[in-house]
Amino acid sequence: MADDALDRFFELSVDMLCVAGVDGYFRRVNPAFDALGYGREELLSLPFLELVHPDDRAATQVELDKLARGTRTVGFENRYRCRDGCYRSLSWNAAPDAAGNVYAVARDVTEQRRAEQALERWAHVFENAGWGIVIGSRDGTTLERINAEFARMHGWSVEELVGRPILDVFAPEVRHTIAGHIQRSHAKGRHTFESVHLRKDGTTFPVLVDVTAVRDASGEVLYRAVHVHDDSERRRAEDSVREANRFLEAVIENIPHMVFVKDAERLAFVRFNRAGEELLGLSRAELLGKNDYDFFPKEQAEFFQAKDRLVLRDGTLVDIPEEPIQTKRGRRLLQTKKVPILDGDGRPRFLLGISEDITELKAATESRARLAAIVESSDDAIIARTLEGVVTSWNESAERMFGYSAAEMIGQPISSLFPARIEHQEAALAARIVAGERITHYETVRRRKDGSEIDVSVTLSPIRDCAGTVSGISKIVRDITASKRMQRELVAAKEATEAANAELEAFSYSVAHDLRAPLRSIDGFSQALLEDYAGVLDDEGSKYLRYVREAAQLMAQLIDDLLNLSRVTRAELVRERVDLSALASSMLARLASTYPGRDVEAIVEDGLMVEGDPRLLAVALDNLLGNAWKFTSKRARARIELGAVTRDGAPTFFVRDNGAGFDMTYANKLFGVFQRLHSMTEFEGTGVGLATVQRIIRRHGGRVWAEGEVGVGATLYFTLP
Amino acid sequence: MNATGKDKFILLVEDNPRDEDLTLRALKRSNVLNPVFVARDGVEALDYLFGRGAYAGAPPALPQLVLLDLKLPKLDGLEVLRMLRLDERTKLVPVVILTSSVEEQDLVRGYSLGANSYVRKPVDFVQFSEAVRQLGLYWLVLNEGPPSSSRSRA
Repeated sequence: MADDALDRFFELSVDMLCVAGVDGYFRRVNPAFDALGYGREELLSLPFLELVHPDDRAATQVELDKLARGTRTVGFENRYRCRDGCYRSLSWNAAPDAAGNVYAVARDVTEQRRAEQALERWAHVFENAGWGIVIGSRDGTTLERINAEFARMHGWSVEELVGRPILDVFAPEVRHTIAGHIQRSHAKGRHTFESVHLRKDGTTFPVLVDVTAVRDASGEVLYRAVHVHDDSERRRAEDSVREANRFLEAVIENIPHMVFVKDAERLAFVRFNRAGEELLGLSRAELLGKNDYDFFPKEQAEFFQAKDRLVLRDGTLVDIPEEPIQTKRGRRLLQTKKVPILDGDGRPRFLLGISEDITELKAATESRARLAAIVESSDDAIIARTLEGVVTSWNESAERMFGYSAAEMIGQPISSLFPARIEHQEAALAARIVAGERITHYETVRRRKDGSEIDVSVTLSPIRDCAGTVSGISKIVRDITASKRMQRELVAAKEATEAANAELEAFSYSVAHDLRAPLRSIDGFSQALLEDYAGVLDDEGSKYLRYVREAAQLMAQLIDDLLNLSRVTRAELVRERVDLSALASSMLARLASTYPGRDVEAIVEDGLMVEGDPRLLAVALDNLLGNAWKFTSKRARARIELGAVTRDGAPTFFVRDNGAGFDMTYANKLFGVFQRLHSMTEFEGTGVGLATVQRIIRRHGGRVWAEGEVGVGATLYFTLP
Repeated sequence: MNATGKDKFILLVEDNPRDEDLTLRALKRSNVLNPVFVARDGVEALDYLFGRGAYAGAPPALPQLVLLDLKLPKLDGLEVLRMLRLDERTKLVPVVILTSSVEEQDLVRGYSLGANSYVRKPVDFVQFSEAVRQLGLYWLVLNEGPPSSSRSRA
């Protein structure tokens, strides 16, 4: 070919054509070299090795050396730096001539290399993906390509699986669904579904499958790209979340306190547990979606919501220690804690409330406090001990009584209070209590801290635990030292009184006999004088002897009355039912027959029944009626009355007459011994009668008093409780 | 009033000589003429009735009536009564307690021991005489004595 023709080709070629000298400079380059971005002159002025990528220079030098030795270069690749700093991959064919020039053709393979690198990366990704990747056949039935992870997750090698039917990796129970999934991927282009895969060893595992049908320009499906994720972890995570939820649900549901959740905006109930339903007497269905105003009185709902808002505003826990609440089961007392539940941004989303019903607790606490106050304020020592005899409770009175403080006694054996000689008795008592017996007012002795002994009355009861088993002993100890002493003194006093009475008895007996005998002589011999010596005595002498006799007889009467009075004091009091009306009627009848000359109207109220000593009451009534009879002796028409009135709510009896009466000024003198308000010439008497009456009434626990007016009459009142 | 027989005698047990005087005077005033034997203490009374001591010998006839004071030296009236009632021979002899007081205990014991009557000596001698008169009339005239006393006398 002519040089001219060659030049034309040289200028037109898309490949890069050049001629280089052995000096390392291009002699000539064609326009295709423009692609490197240099001017042609510039290129010819640069040693071309400098344009070669530093990593490729050594290899390039080797090729140049081979060319210098006359060997041709075929398909050698290196990278040339463009003017803009990037490199392009060039594939060289070169041949030397005899003059040492090298004729070379370079083809730009940069794009080709890039594509190859990209493909390599994708293959790398494919092979090293953390999930299974499958290229399915066009008809969707065969595994055409799989990656290592897919094989691993199924327990097979890649070689074993490739070419197998897709259905083989699905668990038998889900295989019937696969055709449907393939159809859906066809229809939608991409389809994701959950399924179960089968391992080589027969075990199964959950998977998430993502299928994409890849089509060509005409819409024909070329293949399917399938991504398979082992779903075990996610499922496990889901399961554990579900599990945790169920756990929380169960906890909330079974907490014995009311648990409720309100939404932060409307404060409507969104959650409610069983204890809450029971407390309010409302079902969840009734509660959810409603708020406090739907269930509680206005003031109460306002109170609740004010607290809710406070919790939500401050974002803190609020404790309402005592919250009264009206429920269907009546008024209850709650202790409520409210806390906000925040969302991810820290804004309150819900309000959680937990309420404990403290109604019974509070009542128990109060009753316990009351009991404790009673125990502490008791004058009796109240002590609790274990069955082993260790003190567990010790009140203030115990401190006072025994001299030991609570700190000194609690935890210590109670036996330090027992004098040694009674320890065995105490053990026997404890055994009876353990057997369930209760022992009241057992009198014994105790030793105080200072060693002195006190008399005590002890009441012992078993303390039972919830199961009813005797777990301890409670003791109520009363100090009866003082009352014991009083009792002893009382016995001594009684003995002294009895001795004195016996003496008095003997004295009275002597008086009765011996004081009367001389009086009989005085009277008898005076009478003998009057009878036997009437002739010797003048009238005056006889009169004096009569005075002597009168005095002796009065003296005898005084002695009799005094003996009666003392007998009233000494006599044993018996209590029987006594018919005062009958007694009075028979006495008045006897008086009337003894004094037939008297005209006396006797009025006795019927049915006056009292409790008392029949003989002593007869003596009293005899005196009262006898007095009335006596003091009405100067009345032409005498009237004597026995009756009853009610004074200060108690029956009061009276004996009334229309006799001589008395001056109220001397009313207090009426009941004294030997006190008389009339002269002997007016009315005879010794002045002992009313003293006797008073003593009898007083011995019955009653009272006697008199009202009267001179010339009108007297009324003697008495009570008999 | 006539006594029914000299053999019907009275035993008066009385330590006070003045009361003895007054009693005898009262009996006389009341025309009770039966003989009266006076014992001045309880021991003498029993010795007389049982024929012991100063009265040892054949047991005497039993009195128609015993007037017994209670307060006596040595042995008191109630003790005398008890001994009388214990003895088969004397247990039915009528005994009237004639004394100063009416203490309840004496009444109860007197009747319990078998006294036939209990009479208090009034201080008023007129009343005393009347009481003695009635006693004599009743026990010596109206009352039929127990048959055993007749038998033992026979």
